Amino acid sequence: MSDIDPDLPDYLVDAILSKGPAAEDVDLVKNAFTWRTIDAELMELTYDSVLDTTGVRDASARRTMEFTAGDLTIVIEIEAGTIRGQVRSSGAGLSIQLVGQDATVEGQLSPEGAISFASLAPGSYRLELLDGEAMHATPTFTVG
Amino acid sequence: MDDSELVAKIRNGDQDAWNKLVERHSGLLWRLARSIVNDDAAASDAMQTGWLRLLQSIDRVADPSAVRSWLCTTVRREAIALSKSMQRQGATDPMDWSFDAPTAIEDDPGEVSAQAEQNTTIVGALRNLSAKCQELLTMHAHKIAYEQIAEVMDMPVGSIGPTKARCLEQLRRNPAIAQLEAAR
Repeated sequence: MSDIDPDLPDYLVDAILSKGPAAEDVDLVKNAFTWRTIDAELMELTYDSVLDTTGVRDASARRTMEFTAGDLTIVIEIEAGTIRGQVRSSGAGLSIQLVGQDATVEGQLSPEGAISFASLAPGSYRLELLDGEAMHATPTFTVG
Repeated sequence: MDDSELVAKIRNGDQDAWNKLVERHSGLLWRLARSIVNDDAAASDAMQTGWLRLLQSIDRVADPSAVRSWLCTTVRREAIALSKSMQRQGATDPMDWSFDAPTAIEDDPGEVSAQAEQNTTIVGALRNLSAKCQELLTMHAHKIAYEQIAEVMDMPVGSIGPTKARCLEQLRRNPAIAQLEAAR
């Protein structure tokens, strides 16, 4: 190697590789294999309250997340086995379901677009919304 | 088993192949995202979204042997979008690479090995570099070929070596790194 293209010192390589993703986050990805068969557009995470303050996740605190896809927006609050949320869309005839690792629960949308899921077992979930003929799904999130 | 063989198995619904691919590349993807977003949790979100996008696109990835580059490019894009979103929300400035000391280590210094303490110092110095430098050095630490780094970072291949040299030079100007190198 020349001076303009030096090798990385070993101490730097060791330090960079010394920290990686949390094991539970890697497990979430492994468990997401069912996504392979989902014919839905992945919604974008546009707000996450855990990133709004210290950036430290706290499983005991209420977490607010917002997902969007075009003019479709869903805001949810997750707290102690419960998800409450609001769906905003210019379309009519929306339907929603909550998909967990072991079960899928059909959601009831109020005329104002409010949703609620209670008594959820801890684990990873995603929401799927059928908006007309378009299927949208949120990235996986954790319910503590 | 190489990546293209794993992708072929994943396309046939093989969960074990998926697990192997996830284990092989999650470290790189998380560290790459962490170079861009100054937050561990946000890096995990970018990493997870990148993997989900791969699952959705697994049958359409044109070159399965280049799936690592595909993942790096996708996670990098997610991390940049997340970083901009965090800026809008007034969270930690993604361009502020001030020292980010792990609290677990500071909580009980008596339990920390000398190696872990040194790694913390070095990573702290690394976080003071630009996101571009951090990305470049992270991918080098994973021994990724220059052509792939250039593709992921959208840089000319010929500029990778000189940029890396400048990043290392900046890192060595950090007093903690200078002290560490002088002691070696």
